[in-house]
Amino acid sequence: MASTPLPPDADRAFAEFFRSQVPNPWPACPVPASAKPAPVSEGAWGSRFALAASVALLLGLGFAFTGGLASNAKMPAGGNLANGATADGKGLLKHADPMKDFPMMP
Amino acid sequence: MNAASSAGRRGEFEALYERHARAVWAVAFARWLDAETARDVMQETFLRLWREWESGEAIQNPRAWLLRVARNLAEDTAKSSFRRNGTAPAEHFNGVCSPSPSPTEQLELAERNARVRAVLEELPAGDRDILTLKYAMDYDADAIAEMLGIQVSAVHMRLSRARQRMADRLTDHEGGP
Repeated sequence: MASTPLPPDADRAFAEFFRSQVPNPWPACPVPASAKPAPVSEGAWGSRFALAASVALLLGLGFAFTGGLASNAKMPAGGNLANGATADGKGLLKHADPMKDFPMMP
Repeated sequence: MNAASSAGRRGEFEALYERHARAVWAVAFARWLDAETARDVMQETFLRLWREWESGEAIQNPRAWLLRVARNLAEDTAKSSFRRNGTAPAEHFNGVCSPSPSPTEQLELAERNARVRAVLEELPAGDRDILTLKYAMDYDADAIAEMLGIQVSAVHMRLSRARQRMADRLTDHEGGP
């Protein structure tokens, strides 16, 4: 095997070695994670829209139900057994005849 | 941290990287003699600086802080790599990073670099710091002394010792079989 040509002196040997090791190009400054602006992708916009639509739908349904119950609050007369009742029970079932549906004993 | 102060911090961070990244790379390289590892250590060192800032820590002397962290990280990397792989394989140490036009030249350069590396591995870590700062980064003796907190005369003495050892090795090689 042919002898490898040697650098003329130690100084050159060191210089050649170290310069061959230095990154070229020099690495760019690292970007810390917290310094990066939060990326907003199309997917993120889509999910935001879906969330907004869901919230709107829930609110709409909530209003529809509460409005519907309010309109159904009027019960037919006598349809509510508690109509006219007080906390002591007076008036409760006052429109009902408890014996109505029982057959009379001979 | 509001947007303005965050942008200011980012600018300060980049300025510190511009000013000290080469010295940080050099001390990491001096420990392990591996360019890739040194680059990883350098980047991690700067990210740790940013995290220190974020946690509200005030760093009085960023360069001293960076060099100390880089040394510790390089040391940890060396230990963990040794645990994983044992002593590093020769081809790892003989890797050639510079572009070489032909396989023959690449081989010659690899052989010369292996010889230099063998000399470097025999030197104390402090001497390797000085050699890397001098030859890889072109710092002069005054700057190296200031950076490492040692006397300028000590820098000259260690450089001279390393050059003498290298010259002896080259002479041995030329006179050898």
